[in-house]
Amino acid sequence: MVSSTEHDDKAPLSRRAVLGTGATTLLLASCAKAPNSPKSTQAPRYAPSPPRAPEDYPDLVFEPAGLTARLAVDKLTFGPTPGLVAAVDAIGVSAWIEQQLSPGALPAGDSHLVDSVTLSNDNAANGYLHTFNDQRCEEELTHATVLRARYSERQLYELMCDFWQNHFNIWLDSKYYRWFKNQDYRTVVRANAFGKFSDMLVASAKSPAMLLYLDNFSSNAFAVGGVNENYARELLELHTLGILSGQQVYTEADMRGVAKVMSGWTFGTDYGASQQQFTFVSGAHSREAVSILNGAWSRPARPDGNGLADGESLLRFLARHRSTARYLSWKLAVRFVSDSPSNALIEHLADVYQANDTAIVPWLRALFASDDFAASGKKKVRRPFEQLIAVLRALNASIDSASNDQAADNIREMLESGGQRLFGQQSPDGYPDRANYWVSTDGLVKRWSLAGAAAANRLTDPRLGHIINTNLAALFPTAAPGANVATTLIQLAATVGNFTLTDDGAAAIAAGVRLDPSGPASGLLNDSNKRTQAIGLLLAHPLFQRR
Amino acid sequence: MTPTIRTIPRTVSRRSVLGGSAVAVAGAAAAVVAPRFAFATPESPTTSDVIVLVFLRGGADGLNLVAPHRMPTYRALRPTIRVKSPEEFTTPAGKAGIPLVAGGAVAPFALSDVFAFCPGMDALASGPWAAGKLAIVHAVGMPASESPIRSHFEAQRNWECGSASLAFNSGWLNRYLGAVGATTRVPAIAHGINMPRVLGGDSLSLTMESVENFGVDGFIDLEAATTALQQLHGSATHEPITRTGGVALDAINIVESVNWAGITPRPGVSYGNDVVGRQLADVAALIKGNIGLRVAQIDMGLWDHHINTGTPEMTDCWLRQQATMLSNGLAAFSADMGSRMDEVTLVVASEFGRTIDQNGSGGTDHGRGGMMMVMGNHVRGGIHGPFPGQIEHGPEGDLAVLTDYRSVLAEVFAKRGGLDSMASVFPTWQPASELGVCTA
Repeated sequence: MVSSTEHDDKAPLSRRAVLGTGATTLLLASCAKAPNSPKSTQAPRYAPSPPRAPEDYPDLVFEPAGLTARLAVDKLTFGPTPGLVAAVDAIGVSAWIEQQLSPGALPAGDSHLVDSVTLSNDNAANGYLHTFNDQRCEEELTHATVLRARYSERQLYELMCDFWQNHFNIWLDSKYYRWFKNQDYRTVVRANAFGKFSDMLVASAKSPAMLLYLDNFSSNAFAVGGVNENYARELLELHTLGILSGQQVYTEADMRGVAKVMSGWTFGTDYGASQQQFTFVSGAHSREAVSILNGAWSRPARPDGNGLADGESLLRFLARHRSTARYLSWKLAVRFVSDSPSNALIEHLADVYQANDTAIVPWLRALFASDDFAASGKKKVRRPFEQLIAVLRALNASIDSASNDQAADNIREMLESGGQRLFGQQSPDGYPDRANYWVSTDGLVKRWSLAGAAAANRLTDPRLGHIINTNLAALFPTAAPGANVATTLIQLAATVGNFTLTDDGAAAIAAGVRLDPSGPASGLLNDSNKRTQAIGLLLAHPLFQRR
Repeated sequence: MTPTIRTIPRTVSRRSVLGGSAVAVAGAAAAVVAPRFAFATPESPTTSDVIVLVFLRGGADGLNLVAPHRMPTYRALRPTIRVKSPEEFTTPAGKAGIPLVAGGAVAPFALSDVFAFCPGMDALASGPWAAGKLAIVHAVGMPASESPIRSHFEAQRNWECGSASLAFNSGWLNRYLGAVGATTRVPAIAHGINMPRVLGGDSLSLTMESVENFGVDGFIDLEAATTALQQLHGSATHEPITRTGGVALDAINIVESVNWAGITPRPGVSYGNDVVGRQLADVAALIKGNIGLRVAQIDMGLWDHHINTGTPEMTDCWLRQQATMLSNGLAAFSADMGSRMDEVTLVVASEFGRTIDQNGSGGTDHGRGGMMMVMGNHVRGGIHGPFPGQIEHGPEGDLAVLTDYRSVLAEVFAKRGGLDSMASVFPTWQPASELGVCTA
């Protein structure tokens, strides 16, 4: 019979030493030893943070000054495609944003995915495929993510998938089961990106990929040394409550309490129906009573180990907590507005998040309706993934759909050499989202080289038939009467790059093609080498690195 | 090999366009500078060392890298993952920890024979340590009075900014450059793509993943494109991009003036083909290239061993493999630089240490006190600073911080880095008595 006192933190050291050799006690073995006590029926208790009064968001109208189609396209997509800004203007910005928020009717771009079996497989099926080709899952997942970012008309949805995938970051190479990532991305991230955060959090906590990455699969209250703290710490710090401006609402003791509540959450390794899926092992679950955040959430002792519902209750409590609302709202504002968003915006978004019970779409709608958003033009530096896709979209590039040819390989190589391999961030915080990390000498040199090579249509070996293909001809206007080199470049910056080129900037790029800015436009338009070079320089312009 | 964007042939040779005059300048520089100033440039002479920072990202387990192997509490709290003592094996070589004792070139020190290197760290033990050129400080970190946090991300922020105060957002290594008035055009390089916090800030600093590939590709007319890029990044309109872009374009000229292929490790020195080995080899080349480098930083990751740290007597032990890579890299770097280590001081550190007792997964969780190393020809070999008489499983289960990591750095900066005042570099640091890790 296991009693809770035996597992007190202050247990004598001698016991630990005696038990020491079997540190990695198998969870299933513990399960077999689980005591068969009567079920405890007392539910966990918590006092939810009082929600703010709901506001009348459905009637909201997107007409804050400055919210232009150009800004909306910059922010809500991976970059403008030729004609997109004009199309948004034609629909109206607010109607277009509503389309993006309810994107079911828009083409998803999945018609471009040819190698996608592993995207819809579960872990067991992918594990089987992995034995034949240990690159397949990653190749299909990364290329599908690139193709969707490039082609899908559900652009905001894809951006939010990127946001949530970074929020619940799982390094692809962290442990042996590399194929777990594909199911996680589908069932945690994509399934909930426009749903409720609380559902996404529970799905993530049960995801074998997350259980593996942050070691909770091995967290066993009865192993020598006790529970594993890794997941509990990041759950509080990165997934929910957060630490904002150094302010932390939870203690180390809270974190250890959470680790106890989450102990026993693991995945099965049997060969039955539940293979490599979430399972709760009560034999590994802590029996202790737990109280966190000064009793805001607590549960009694669980002598029978039946604590699965406690974990779900705790996760939903955390999802709805005011600190979580603030932390997520800060993160969202950093993603879409600026590296240092206003407190007023964060508080407002946190209100909306709580008033809508963690629903994501109303929260996004409130962000896009804010004055801060309307004033956020070009305040963010594109990360390398966004930059690469923005270049491809600006040039209307076609990308071969195969996930393992040179087009796919080179895209992966470009992302890696830019410092943002997809699913490649080792640490659980996801890729940073601040300019002073991404704006570096090495990073800029590579962005310029990418711009030049993309404009020259040299992203893949031409002998392979341009399996990434850019076609500049369609981007150029016919020479308007009186147009000179500078005015043509300024027009191209707007139509291709969605930014305003100054006269000085036009003079710089004219120098880059060895033309007089006041010379006739034909000098540029009739020379394919100069056109290529001009487009490359526009894509290398500091403003095209921003959104 | 699959062709990649890096292999796209250049239409214009960068060297032929930009290289000529700069090559001549660098050649002259190599001839005229005095040996003491071998790594300075004629326009910016210096008497200070090149400072190299090796950051072990993820909370390296100082208690198993430099293990108090005979301490009963250490043995009790780490039953399966501890570093074992030589007397526990009939043939200890390759299995036992490598005891760190005074003697030979290592002057007597108080904690002699208390600690042992993790097995696999033979190169560091027989090289820099035996030569008395490696100082170790244990139970080191950010004092709890300033921040006791065990979060990687907050602890790294605090560590790299040199303060837990949010008022200081630049990196201390960057502020050091400002405080000593580094005036070269490539004074500081973080090896890699993106900018780590420790080197980010107002003073000029660069990132470089590969010195030989640091240049612009892809444009048909590269000379004209470079002119345009210089103009586009010539004003402070779109910071931080324009300033950084200008620095990059300037650095390309300097870097391309050096024949990097001609800079090879000394005969007999071989760097491992692993992340830290490759990075240290590149740093050695950058220093030997005489481009005015004052500071270099590299990251070594994968130290967050929450699970299956492994038993160090086995060669498949994860921590041992990491320790071996680090040891081999540092020893190769030291041997490669040779007498030039007179002008280089290398520091190894991590954001925090790990819990004393192992967890139920055979790993360790986030702790507090960690371990630092300082390597160079002016280092006083040995183990410096205090260490508790016994380590205990306290309520937080980790080693207390007994030495402020900034005290180690401040001594290095004062004696080897030419820095008079730490006020701007470590504004919230409380000066303590000197450890004696190096000599002026």
